[in-house]
Amino acid sequence: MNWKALLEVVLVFVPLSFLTVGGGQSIVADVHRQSVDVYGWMSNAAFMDLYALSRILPGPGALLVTLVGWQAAGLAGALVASAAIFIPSSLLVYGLAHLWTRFREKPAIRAIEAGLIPVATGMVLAASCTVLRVAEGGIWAWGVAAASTAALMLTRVSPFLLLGLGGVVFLVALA
Amino acid sequence: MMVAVAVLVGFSAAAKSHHVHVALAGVAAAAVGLSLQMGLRAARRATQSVAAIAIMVMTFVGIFFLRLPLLWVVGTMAPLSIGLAYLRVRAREGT
Repeated sequence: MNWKALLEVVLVFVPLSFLTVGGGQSIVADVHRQSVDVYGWMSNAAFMDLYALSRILPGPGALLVTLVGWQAAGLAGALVASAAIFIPSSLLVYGLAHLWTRFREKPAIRAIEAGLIPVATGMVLAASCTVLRVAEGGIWAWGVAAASTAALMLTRVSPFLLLGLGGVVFLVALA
Repeated sequence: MMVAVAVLVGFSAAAKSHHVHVALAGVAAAAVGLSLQMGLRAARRATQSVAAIAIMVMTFVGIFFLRLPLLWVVGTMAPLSIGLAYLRVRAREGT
């Protein structure tokens, strides 16, 4: 058992657990920074494989974290990373839920809700752009991402269909 | 989650295939569209005031361009943003 890697997994994901506002996507930029640049658990290419897998496999939005934990420290890493990302924030939400419903109308609570929206938005946009910066395929990656964004905003197309199309476009253009 | 780990074990064998890797890169690019679309929708809602726009832009710059640790960025921007929102809420209610 690689205890050092397991400890690193805990140190990375427990703090990130509290930063997962607006779904798992908000922390993707930092998951990449730490797992590739800081701890060197994997290359950019391997990170992108895991990112793609996390979006096509069924499961919660934070599935990327499980996969990164697996890459860092095997099965134990996958379990520890999942626990580290879910348990701290779950306990926090459980503790706060009562206070929240009780003081919902107070200005302070409404300010917290309103104040977190622009921060979470900046996080999600930065995560998207970070993945594109790392992505292979250059102009094709930006093109597919732009097309899929436009399709999602303007039509009711299924996201899964778009993911499949993205894979097909890359196979035809680049393989 | 167990499904994911099982798939991953199979995947580590398939990952050596160039085609699998290229297809996944395409899936990843399309998946960026999912979160970009979410971010843009949220941005439309978040940009109600100059202060909120400034917070959003500074958060983005700190993470994407400066590559600062997320904990620092959120630890600075979230209290600042909540403080500004509090002033707005109070001002609107005239209390």
